[in-house]
Amino acid sequence: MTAGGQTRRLAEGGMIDRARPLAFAFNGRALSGYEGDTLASALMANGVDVVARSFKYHRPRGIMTDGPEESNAVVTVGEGSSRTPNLKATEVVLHDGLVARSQNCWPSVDHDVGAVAGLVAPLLGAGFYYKTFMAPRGAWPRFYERLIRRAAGLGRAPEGHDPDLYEHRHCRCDVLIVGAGPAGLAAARVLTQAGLRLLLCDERPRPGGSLTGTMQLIDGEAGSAWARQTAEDIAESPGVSVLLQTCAVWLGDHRLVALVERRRDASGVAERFWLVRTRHVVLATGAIERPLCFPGNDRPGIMLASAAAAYIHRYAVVPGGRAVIHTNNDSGYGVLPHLRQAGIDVKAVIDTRPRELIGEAALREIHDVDVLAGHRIVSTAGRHRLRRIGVRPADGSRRPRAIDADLLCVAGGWSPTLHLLGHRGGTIHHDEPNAASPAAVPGDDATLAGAAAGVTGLAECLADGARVAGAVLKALGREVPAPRVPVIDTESGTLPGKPNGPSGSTLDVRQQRRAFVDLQNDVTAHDVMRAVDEGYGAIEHLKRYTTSGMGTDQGKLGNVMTIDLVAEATGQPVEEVGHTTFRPPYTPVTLGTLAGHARDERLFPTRQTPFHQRHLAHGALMELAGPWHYPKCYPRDGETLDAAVEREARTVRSAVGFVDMSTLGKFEVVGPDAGIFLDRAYASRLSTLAEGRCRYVLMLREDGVVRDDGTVARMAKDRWHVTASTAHADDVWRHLERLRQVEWPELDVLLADVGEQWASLAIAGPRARDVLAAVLPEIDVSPEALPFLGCRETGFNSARARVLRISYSGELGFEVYVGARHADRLWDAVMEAGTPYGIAPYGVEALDVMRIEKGHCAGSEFDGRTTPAELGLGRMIKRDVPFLGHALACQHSLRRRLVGLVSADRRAPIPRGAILVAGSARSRALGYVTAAVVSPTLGQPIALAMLQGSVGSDDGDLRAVSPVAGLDVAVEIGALPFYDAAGARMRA
Amino acid sequence: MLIIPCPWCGERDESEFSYGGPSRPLPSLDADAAAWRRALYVRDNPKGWREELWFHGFGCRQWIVVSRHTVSQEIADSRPPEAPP
Repeated sequence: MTAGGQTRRLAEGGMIDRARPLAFAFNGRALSGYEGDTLASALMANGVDVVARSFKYHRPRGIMTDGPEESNAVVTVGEGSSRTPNLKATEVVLHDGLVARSQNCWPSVDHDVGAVAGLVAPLLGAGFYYKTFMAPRGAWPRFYERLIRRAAGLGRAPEGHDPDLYEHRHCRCDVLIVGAGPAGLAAARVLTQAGLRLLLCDERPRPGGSLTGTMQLIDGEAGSAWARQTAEDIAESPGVSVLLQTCAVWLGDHRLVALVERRRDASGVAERFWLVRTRHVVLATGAIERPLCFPGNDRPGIMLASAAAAYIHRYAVVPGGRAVIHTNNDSGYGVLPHLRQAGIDVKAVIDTRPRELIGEAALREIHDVDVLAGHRIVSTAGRHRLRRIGVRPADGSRRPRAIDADLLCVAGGWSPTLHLLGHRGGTIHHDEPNAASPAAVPGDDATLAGAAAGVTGLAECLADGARVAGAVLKALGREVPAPRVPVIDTESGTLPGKPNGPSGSTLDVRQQRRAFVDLQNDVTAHDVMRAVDEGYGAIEHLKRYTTSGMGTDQGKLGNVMTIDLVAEATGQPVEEVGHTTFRPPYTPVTLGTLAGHARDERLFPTRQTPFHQRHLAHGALMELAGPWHYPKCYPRDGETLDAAVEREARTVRSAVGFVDMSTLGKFEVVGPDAGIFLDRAYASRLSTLAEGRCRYVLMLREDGVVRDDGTVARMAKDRWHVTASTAHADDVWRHLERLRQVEWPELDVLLADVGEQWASLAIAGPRARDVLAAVLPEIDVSPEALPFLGCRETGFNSARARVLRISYSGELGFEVYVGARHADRLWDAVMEAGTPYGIAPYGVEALDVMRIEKGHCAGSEFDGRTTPAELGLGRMIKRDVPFLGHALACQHSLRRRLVGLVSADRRAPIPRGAILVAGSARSRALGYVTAAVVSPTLGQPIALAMLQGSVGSDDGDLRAVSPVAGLDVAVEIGALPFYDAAGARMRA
Repeated sequence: MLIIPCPWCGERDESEFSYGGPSRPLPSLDADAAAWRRALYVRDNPKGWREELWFHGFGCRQWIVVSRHTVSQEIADSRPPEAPP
């Protein structure tokens, strides 16, 4: 044993680098480990027994496994904004300066107040939450929710901005091999010979999988050395990458595999997310050993037999001093030579099977150890570490006897790791008692190899890997090279892991309460039995009712024990009980990894209009509207936002202003049948529209609900200029193309998306005509030549321009379109022409104010639920020619209608999004406010709202209530539009 | 994520496409409300092969008809909408 506090470290052996000691802290204690350690192995070397407290009963828990299946040793690593909760100590690679803490305990992991929950455990059984927190209903918000929130959740989320770097990578390859164990390496050796583009990944820092814990020699070398050399040889081949510390977390459709690389390298990237599209996947994911179900099976010092061997070989850590092995199959005996080699005193082997079922190879390992065949464990003792085990013959023929031990190696058989296959929809069934194996693999693009395919034995797994590689080559049409099969020394043969003894059956009720099936969620055998009694016999129901298998380990250890118990309780065969669905990810993935670079200003791609630089030069306050950078308003020196919006709206109403309209969707519709096409696509009659005229139009969905609004202008006989609202531009384009390509291919019409080709400004206000005349001197802009809803094509500085006389603000207005590259010149020309009249650009806020004053609908009214009649636009529906959505648009009853609201006292602002109620705030909702502003023109708050059809203005006592804003405002229905009802101003 | 064979562009990732629902003939525009209601709301949900529309928006901007197996996610073939199946 070495000094430095690592009292359980062997002086020699293991795959750690003793020349590179690492300092780390656990629960504030300064400890040390070595390069090559995991947090779990370093804690074990330092003699730390209790690593965490369990979720519900706060029982002391230690380290049970050496891999992603760990359900006990869940810790928080890092501090502040780098803090990551719920990491498995068995997966955390130790580095210098690592800081880790236990979870689920206060004030400390050794003395935890929450452990009193264990005293009332009988009350906290299956379905506790469902049964306890039902009534009275009023107690929910005040009491139950707070209580549950405090008790629920594992760990604490990090605070502040995550300083770590994350990266996404996409790659393609011929074959992806998941798992660099014996089968994976054997397959990779064959495939590299064939010169394929190959990716080999393994979640551990070292290649080899089970080879790193074996005593067998391969080609005369130790397993770990052979694995390292083989992986290096493979990595040197052209077109081959070996990714270590890289876990395959998801197997998607069409051979897309997601990998998470958790290797901190020189690039400074904390975690890297890979999306690999491959022609073939080999799943050499190995198998996970199962624990056994007996009373007190959760104490620190109880671990999987394979994990005990792994800690000795991988990390030179002695997991205990006096050991007992508990098994239901021959593989449990395989740990004996490992324990002996580490100098551990093996007290007994407790086998659940009668002696005649124990294999000969297993019996050869026994030497002088006491074998208690046909026995099972009835109790364990020891507060913070296992001290004593109570054993009794399964038939109850003798009184229990006690065995002193501080290490219990449990071996319940092996479950192939089939999670990835489950993501793809593969079904899993059990063949032999308790052993899961795949029944069906959808498609032929994923192949299981080695222990994942149910193969046992090292030589067999190596051969299976080579065989699968041959099959893949054949499927890819390549020649299959003669495999070089490694030579295994057969002196210490492997022991089969098929369990042929019971794993936990026939426990009496008292024992069931302390026999855990899901250690992370504290689900006991008793909970499972009781859930079955209460009718939750279906495995998917039982999982949700008991929460068995719903922890961060996703039941990698406990699921099969649960299935066994259900089978026993219901009398069904195991294969009929079935298996719960495996869902991605295989191991937890941090949100930072999934987000990658997509955060802050790179959250999503954004767009700028052609006027962007002009907006900035005029001091616009920009905001993001969908993907668009768009001016909110243009505040002048010292002006508040509200004052700026008010000034801009007043400028338009009294003189002239202009606004950037370039975000609108713009389409060119051309061809002899363009008029018929638009007739069918829109709710207005357009084929009869005269040249040089335009129209405000509605587009409906097939079900009669409004899809979008826009304008259609007939520029020439067979040429139409169509616009769509900013938010729906892409959707409308897809829809129009669908109508043209799929529904009415017989029409002779062409569509072009010209949204980015045009830059456009809307000039509005009583002096708009004066400005337009100066900007476009080539055309006559008089009311006679360019009447309301007229349109013209003209020149602008030798470029082409279009002008549509339409108004959104309610004032005399013109929309001017020029080529996007002439945007700056158009802006400057409008500014120059308008300066004598006090022209000012206005932003989206002023635009919104004016459209609400006019009662015009926008996105908040076209919310995908409203029909033309409800919006008061029923008159726009043509009755004579059928169009898409016509049949059902006329069928809808008038559930709601668009109304204008004013606040009763003419002063209190109406909250946006408020619910409309009559009388008390607790009455039924009668509608909702879609848009609200304080109108500078009218000098009072106004709003648009959707109100139930039956409510009239004489119902009175209408209130707009916003629980979010804490506002409750008395409102009255006002006549729409609020401003210039006759529309004289825009027709001027 | 699927790989969709576009008849114009070849095999492309699903992220380049938008889904357009099952491919089915719409009633004529002057059909009555009952026919439209049936077409929109009374639909097959087959466990097996189905023809559906996809829009290759980040590619050729064409609507295509794709034959997909709803359980195994296999894609048998794709064609332009106007070509007969």
